[in-house]
Amino acid sequence: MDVEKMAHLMTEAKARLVTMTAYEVSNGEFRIIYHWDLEGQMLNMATMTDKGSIPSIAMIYPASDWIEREIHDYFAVQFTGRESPPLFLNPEDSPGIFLDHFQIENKEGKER
Amino acid sequence: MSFIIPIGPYHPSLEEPFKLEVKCQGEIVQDATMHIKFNFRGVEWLAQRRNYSQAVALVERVCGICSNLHTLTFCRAVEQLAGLSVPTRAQYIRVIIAELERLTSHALWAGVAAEIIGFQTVFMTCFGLRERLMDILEIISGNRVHYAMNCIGGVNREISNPEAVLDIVKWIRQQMEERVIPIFSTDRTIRARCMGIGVLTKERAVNWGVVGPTARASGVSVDLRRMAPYAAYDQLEFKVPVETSGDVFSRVVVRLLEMVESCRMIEQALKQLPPGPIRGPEFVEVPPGEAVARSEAPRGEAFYYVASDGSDVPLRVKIRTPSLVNMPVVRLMVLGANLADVPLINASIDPCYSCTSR
Repeated sequence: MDVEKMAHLMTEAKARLVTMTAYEVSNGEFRIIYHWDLEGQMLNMATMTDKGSIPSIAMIYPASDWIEREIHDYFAVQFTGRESPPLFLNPEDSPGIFLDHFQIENKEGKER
Repeated sequence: MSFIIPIGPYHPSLEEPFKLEVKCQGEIVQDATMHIKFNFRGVEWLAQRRNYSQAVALVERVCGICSNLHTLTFCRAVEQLAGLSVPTRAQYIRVIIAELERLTSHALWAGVAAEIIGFQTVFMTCFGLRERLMDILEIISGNRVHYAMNCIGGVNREISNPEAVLDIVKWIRQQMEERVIPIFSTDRTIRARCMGIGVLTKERAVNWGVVGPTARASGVSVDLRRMAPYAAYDQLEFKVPVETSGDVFSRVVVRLLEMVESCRMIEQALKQLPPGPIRGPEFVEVPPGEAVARSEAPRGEAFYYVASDGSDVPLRVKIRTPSLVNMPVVRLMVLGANLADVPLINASIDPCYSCTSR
């Protein structure tokens, strides 16, 4: 699916992006669902990432900015065509905290 | 010369961690950067490792104020997946609890706003009202905060004495109409602090997908109780207050009018409360599939996505709280504002940081 074209069409139709859902389908690939609201009706559009990345729609629909950042934090999905701000969580951490192979780094070397 | 002022992570007006870095020229805000997620708990991740009944108890802890709304929305999503129909009496009880929760949330907010404005008397008045509301909720559910009322397929507890609840709700409505609304709408201090500051235009509200009272104060009439009715909302008569000026004062007005509407809805629901069972079968089998549910929380639309693989543990639970979409616009609201107004503008969207972090 051409997500940028979808974002343009939905914005023109005065639809509101409720949120985006991501989850890992196979190793390194994610299913991304765009949940739009059009006058009270939900329109859910699903697509897959390509090598863990997907075009960003933050420039077309500004409300998707934090949603994309959150998905990047949780699943390390790369959103192309936008700058990658530091993580919402600890800015020094690496993304992907919801992934099974994620390891918490103990940078301070202290025992917890 | 411009300088940067860090506000937070412990915010001066609200007791939750959130950081706003404000760039100022003199006392005028030129830019702001927001930092969130100081109380991240990974609720979504945990919910995918609990069975459905355990997940209900877990999602109730997403928020300490709109806790009932989270269980309601999660249960509705699972009911949709399992093809369960909820008894009519349970639908009405769900509305009553949801509206009582909206009243406590808005009363809390009005009190906090009054305190930030510097009006302690109104703070005490609002918290006095809220105390009575929490008493009702305690009488019904046994709890003041996490009511544990919703279960998959219905509600856990009966409202055994509707007349007693009705009397208190009528008293609350009278207090709102005779005391709280006149003070907020006519007092010179409140008008001077709230009018014309933190303006969010209708165009920006639409572009940023803002929800709830924040959107309705900017002329965007989004209310799921009206647009996509759930529970027993389609059986009740109510108005959706909408203001057009988009400033802090409009947000105050919208919330106060909503409180009166909530009282009216509870009164109607209590009078119409039909007899019958309050919950369905004890054990629910959830077939593979995915479902989406949305409810109107006190702060706006709450969204749940639940996917199932047929086991007793959800495959994916996605939670989107209203504060997550309302908070980015604070940056737009504070641009050009006076530094002293920043705490009030920030509080005017009724942000919930624990919801945002999840």
